[in-house]
Amino acid sequence: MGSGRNSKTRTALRAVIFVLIAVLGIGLISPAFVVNNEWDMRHVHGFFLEPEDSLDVVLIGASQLYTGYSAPLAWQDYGFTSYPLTVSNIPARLYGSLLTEAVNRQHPKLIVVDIDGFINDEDTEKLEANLRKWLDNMPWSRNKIETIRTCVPAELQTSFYFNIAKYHANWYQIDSWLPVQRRLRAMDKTGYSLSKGVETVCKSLPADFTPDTRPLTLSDVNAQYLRDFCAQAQALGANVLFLRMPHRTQTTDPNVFADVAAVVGSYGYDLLDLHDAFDTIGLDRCADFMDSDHLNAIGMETFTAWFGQYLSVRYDLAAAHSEPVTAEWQRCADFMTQILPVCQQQAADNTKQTLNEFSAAFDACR
Amino acid sequence: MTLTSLSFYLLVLALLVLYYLAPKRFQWVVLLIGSYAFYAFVCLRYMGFIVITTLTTYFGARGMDAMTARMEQTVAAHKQDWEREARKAYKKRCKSRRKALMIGILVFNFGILAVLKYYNFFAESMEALFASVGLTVSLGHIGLLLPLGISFYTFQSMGYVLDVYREKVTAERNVGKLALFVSFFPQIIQGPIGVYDQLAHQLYDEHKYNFDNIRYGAELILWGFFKKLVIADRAVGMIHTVAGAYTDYAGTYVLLAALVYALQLYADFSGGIDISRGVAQMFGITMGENFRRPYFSRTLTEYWHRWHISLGDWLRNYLFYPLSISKAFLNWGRHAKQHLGNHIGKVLPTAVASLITFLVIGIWHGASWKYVAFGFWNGMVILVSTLLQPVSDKVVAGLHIERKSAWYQVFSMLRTFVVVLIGYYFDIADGFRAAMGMMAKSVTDLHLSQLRPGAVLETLPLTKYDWAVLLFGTIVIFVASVIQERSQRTIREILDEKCLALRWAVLLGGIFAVVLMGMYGPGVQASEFVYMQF
Repeated sequence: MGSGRNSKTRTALRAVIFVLIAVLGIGLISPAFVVNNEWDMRHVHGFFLEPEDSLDVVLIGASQLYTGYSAPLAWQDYGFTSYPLTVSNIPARLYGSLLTEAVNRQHPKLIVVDIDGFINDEDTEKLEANLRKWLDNMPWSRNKIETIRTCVPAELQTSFYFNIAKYHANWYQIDSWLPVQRRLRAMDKTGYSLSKGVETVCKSLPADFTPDTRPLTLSDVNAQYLRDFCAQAQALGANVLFLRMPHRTQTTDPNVFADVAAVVGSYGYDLLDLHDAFDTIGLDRCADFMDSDHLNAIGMETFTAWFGQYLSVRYDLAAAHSEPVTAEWQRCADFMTQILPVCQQQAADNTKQTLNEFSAAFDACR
Repeated sequence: MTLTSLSFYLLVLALLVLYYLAPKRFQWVVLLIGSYAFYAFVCLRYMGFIVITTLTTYFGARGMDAMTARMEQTVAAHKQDWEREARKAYKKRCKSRRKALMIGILVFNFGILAVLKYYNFFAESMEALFASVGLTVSLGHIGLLLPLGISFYTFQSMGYVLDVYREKVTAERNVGKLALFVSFFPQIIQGPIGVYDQLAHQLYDEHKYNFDNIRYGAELILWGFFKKLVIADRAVGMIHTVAGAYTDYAGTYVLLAALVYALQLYADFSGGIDISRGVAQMFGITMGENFRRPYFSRTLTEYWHRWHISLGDWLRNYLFYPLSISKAFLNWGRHAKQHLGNHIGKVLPTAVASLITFLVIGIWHGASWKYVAFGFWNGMVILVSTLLQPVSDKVVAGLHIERKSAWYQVFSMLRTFVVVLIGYYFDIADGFRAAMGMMAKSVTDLHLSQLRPGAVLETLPLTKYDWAVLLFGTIVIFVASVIQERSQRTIREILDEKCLALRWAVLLGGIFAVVLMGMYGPGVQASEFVYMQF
């Protein structure tokens, strides 16, 4: 009797250990094969490396923020810490999830919301990819589960919970995931992102450049997402400034920004519309842009200087930070000061190179 | 919900918990509820068909049993007052009525299958025939899809009816239990076709929880997943692409697609059966093998004893043997002996019965002339080889060939494989003409230089990685098959004797192979099991 019970216990124990090994093994290898948009992977990863409650401002939105705004420069000039928590081509439905994460982790004094995702209709073909840029790169939390449950189409949800289902075939394409993982681990080793998410393509526009025309509009669906976002921000007690970054893009709907302003205004929030405020900011329409939607490194410096001042004048952002945090930001500012002239020169020369903190050109600066 | 979907395994898990927690005498009820829930989930619209088959089978079998009982009672009651002749005449009348009932049930149920599966084929063929003589006739078409597993559950339940008729088994009294036998969910999709006296008692018996059943079941499922997700689903797209536009491809690639199809079909069907058997094993139910390394067969007859064994057994027991020993065939054999000699007289009836059986096998696979041709090809090869056996023996003896020698065994396997492969052309082609075209191309447009890796990668829609995985999968299946063939034991039994570390390494290797190399996830269209459509 006793030996029978022992045998059963041993069998059960073995089964549990076997299942644990299998699950742990798969769990351990799964993240390694995740490769979506490396830029977004780095921004998101970098955000979660920032010490909790160390950021004064969190900027959430689309790619315009990481090409047009430099947090280290803003810190150097105005003394507030910030981070562009961005997802390129962000779908409107994701804003709430980013807000939750920003507030829960950082309790920032101000949240700047780039409205690009609200005035572009969701690209259904790319929806999964755009959702993955955020969800596959954020750590597990109640917010992540809630976001999968509410934002991801039902037929895809399983693969968001178990992302090995999506990425398992990457294992043999070592070139696709190993370099990415190396850079993320290097970031882990540093403890933070040195550039705070800056990515730039070294291009500038020719004098005869014809900007893209887009049907930017606040659709009913996106208007509802915007209202939900505002209500959520209110409930969280977040101080929010909505922002339209400078664009060369022409819009077919001249009322779109007024529509957005009306919605956010009804919740007591402001929209800072800089869509074509080139002269106000001091931006050159050609030399400071890499394309219709994004500033280049030259424009980034100009915009950051203007916007940093705008924020520091209107909001009480400067705060004393701990020594390690101050040391981190000083190192980032030094790094940025070193790499920015290279990026700007290449933009002026229109080399079309993509540069970020891991570019070989900056090896000596890291 | 397919055998590889997460929802299927959530259902299995829920049923396992209920099955082992429920009072033992109600375990079969859990299986019945699970089976009907599964069927409703997959095929609710056509559920009426399986219910009708179950009810006609139940009442028909009960009716036959009742007739037998009444006959015996009446004969016993009139033991004194009936003459031998009167008793014989009464028995004959009863048996005729019983036979009529059996035939009625068979006609009704095979009729449903025939109408749903073959009516459109029949109508189209007749219309084409009339059109060929200048007549325009419209026979109408049925717009119904085939109910899930109809060929499998119809054959299984009709096998039961025939067994009751032959008094091999007694009719099941509980309609729920019979409904479970007809609809048992792991096998409803693609078999194996169960035999009542082997399967039913297992379904109704009480089963104590036994960890080994869960473990063995899980191992079989893992093996099935490997075959299906790693091999079959990776190859299927390329095969369809080439077969669908074979005129655009050189014969070399058509032949290559056919060869890959041989691997894909085996991996798909046997993988599905492994999953079905594995799931059943978890409930303590052992289902019969459906495959025994078919590509190691030395003759086509042996191949059909190793491939889709349950269908072969069914047709052998309920069609081939009854035909071969029928009065007409025996008389015909005697007649042939007188006029064509001893050998032909002896084997011709069986060879013709075999040809008819293979035509049925062909038609069972689908309503299309290509399947008729598939059956005819297999049947004719067996018929001719049976008739020419003495000639073959003379040639082998004349050439001093030792049939048991290793090289002759390998030669026989390759020869059989080629014959089987020719049959597969009918399977993959869009139709009979396409099959012939593909075969012709494979022979007349063959250039070995086109097998250069660069050329293959450029022409066929498979990547270098896909080919590497297919090669790896083939090696794994081949090695496992050789081990099984030599030892005549299952890999599970062999593994069980090894140390824990090796066992776990093999199983974890299998799990990781499926997880990393399997075709699944978003963007991958899960392909159905090939035999689901039959």
